[in-house]
Amino acid sequence: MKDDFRLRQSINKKTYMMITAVTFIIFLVFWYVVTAGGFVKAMFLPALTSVLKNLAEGTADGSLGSNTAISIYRITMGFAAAVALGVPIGILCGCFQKVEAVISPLCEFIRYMPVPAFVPLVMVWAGIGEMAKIIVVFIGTFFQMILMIADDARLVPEDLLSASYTLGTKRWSTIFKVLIPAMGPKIMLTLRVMIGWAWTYLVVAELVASNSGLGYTILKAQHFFKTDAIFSGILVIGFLGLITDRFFALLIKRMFPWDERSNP
Amino acid sequence: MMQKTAADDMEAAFAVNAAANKIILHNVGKSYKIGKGNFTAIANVNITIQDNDFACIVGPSGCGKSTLLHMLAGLDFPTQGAIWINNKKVTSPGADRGMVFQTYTLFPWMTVEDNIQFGLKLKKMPIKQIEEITDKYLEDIKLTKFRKSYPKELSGGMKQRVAIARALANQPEVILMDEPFGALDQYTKNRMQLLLRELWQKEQSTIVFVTHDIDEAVFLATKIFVMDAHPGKVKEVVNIGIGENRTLEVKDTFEFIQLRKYINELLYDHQDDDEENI
Repeated sequence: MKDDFRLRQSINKKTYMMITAVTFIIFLVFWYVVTAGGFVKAMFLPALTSVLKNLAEGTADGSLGSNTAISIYRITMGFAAAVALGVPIGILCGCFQKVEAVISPLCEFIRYMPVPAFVPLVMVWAGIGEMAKIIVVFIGTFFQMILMIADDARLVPEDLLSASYTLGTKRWSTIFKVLIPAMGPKIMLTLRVMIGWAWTYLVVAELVASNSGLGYTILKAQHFFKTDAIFSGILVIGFLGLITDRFFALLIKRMFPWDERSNP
Repeated sequence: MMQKTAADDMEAAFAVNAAANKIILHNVGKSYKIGKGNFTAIANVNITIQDNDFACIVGPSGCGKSTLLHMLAGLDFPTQGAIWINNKKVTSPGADRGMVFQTYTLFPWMTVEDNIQFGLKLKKMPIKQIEEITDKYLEDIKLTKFRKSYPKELSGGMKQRVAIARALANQPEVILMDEPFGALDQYTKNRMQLLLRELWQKEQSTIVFVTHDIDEAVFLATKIFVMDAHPGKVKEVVNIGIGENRTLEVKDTFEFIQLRKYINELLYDHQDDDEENI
């Protein structure tokens, strides 16, 4: 309707998918035209075809697969460690002010330190092995995660906890039976945001101190001015990020069928 | 946490003497430090409530009625005086004092049934008994069909019905209600009031109900504590003698209207002498 000025009107799923598909097609066509038509130098923007060729070659000789695998390994280990420690500490921070007084100011301080600056230090500590990259991913996400999870814990409505006390829960049973289940969807949303950052820190680690992984392929390609290889590295990371994000979105929907926000 | 003093013992003796009273608030006060001064929110409240009373507390905003209720629950603490329930001094929240809030406090990850069973499972009651109690209360609140539903699938009135059932199922000594129907529309509110009266009669429970809706208070209560603000104190206790089997029609009777008018006047009387607090 022409005169309908309401915001946030929903469109049907088919239309949505169409618009998304068309956007991608326009983007690719534009890329193709600009490069194939010779409007920009291949050194600045490689042809779509040569990027695809690079990806195909990488797939064929197995280097793309092994570099992707090692990157996924590092991010999984680093992120899992950050979750295993950060989530419980964050919850304690959000529940007990004494814990908060110890942890929070420390985290606030550390999180402003740029992670790339830690890379040389981490190399001194852990060499250039796998542990070094895992530590960088860990440092990048751990401190921030504590603060965000603590916030999630604080956002659980006071009345919900009060209701729980009046039904007979004590301190720890309130935490395990009410607070944690109540903040479940928020925890997962926080992790979904954080894993995006984890990718950034992984690439930072691999750019500086590595001889494998997707970040490393990008750096190596830069040395030889192989912009098509740089692009394929970036595209693969983007694609993996997209898959992780979709995976989290689906997981949240499945895990919390009761939640109004995750399952409207 | 608190040292037992001679004063405590005296107060305990006072409580025992008044054994007929289910709930005793003795010289209850609450004051806060603001800067260098002391702000008294509640001063010298003395209330006694008997078994099977339906006590409503009404008063202007800022009179501390909700704070009093939280103190009864053990969620807040008086700075003067003390509170006894069944001759036991209130020092922390517990399952003997169930509470229903104005906000929706059902656990959203649990079905209606699991919500009602939450307190019973904490007590490690045998499963069979838990099932029986659940069936009974689901029927009482007329939500048997919804036993497997999540709170997000329920309307506001239904959520509050489950919250009431959850509190009752736990068999507490008293039920505390903090404006539980405050967010509902008038029609739903009326039906909830009827249901609550019915449940109260059936269960012979003791209820303390906070509201700012005078109509609601007169309809529900056996006695009403009318409070005054700045500082919060009990201005008058009004016994409601309009019969025990109340239907909505009672709201149109002369006695009801007179009572409502009387309480209204008590409250307006207050507002005249400090205009800035309206």
